[in-house]
Amino acid sequence: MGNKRDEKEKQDETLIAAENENTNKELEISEDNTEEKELAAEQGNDKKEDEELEEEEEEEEDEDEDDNDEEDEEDEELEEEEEEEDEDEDDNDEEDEEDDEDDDEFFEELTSLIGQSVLIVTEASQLNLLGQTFRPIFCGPIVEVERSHLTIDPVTIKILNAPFFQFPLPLSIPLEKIAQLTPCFDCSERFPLI
Amino acid sequence: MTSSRSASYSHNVMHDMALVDYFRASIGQRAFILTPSYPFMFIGEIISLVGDQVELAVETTHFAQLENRNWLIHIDNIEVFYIEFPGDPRIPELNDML
Repeated sequence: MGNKRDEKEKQDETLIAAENENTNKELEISEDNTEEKELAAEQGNDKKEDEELEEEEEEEEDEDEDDNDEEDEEDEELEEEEEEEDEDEDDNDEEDEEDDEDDDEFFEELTSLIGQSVLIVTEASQLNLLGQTFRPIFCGPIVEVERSHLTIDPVTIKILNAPFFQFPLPLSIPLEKIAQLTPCFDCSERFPLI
Repeated sequence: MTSSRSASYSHNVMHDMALVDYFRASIGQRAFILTPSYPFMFIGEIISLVGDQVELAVETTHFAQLENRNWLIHIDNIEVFYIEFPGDPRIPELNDML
């Protein structure tokens, strides 16, 4: 336990001292492709997004098999917006306990953004990942939207000295924690982190 | 017709309830949670839901002294999270991550 803590502290110092790329390597699990991904992002983000879109479409198909009827209905909503009124009648059954179908406007908006790269800022002034503080600014394509949260994969975290750090896991953000969101955001864009 | 304030309130309640339900459906799975409050990061198995608190058998936080114990984490305080379902990417062991 003590050793582990020492390692962590030592690691913290290394993290703080490290250059951007080094930090990425330190935090990466076992993938050494962060730099490649960053390069790809900088060189041709459009291409990357296209690939991601294709992957997500496949993922969505897989999810459909596993997920419940509610999600299936949502997919139908996407495909057939004209029939939205009919769908709403179905949705009412699920939501009567909680609220009107009007309340799903944000949820529906988010659902329409699935596959798009978004920049999301959450409410906290800062977060902390193993001693590395960072602004809760997340960028990447939305792969899943539920009533409670949305999931971004792959997700870029704007760590101060590693602004393009790609987190090794997908991350889910509670809808209640979303302070700001902008769609169609190029994650390779550089902007000041204050 | 509800006022905008109560409509906003019901939004919050709806989203929070949905999140409690999602964590309840995830009991037994490992979760990675970041909160803005100390100690900021928790990794462990979801044991149960106690009201709107999620009970986590924490195996990893930033500090070893706070590990290997159950923590109750207020769901409203969870800023971002990841729940590892079978077949999903594995939450790395701390040693892997560092």
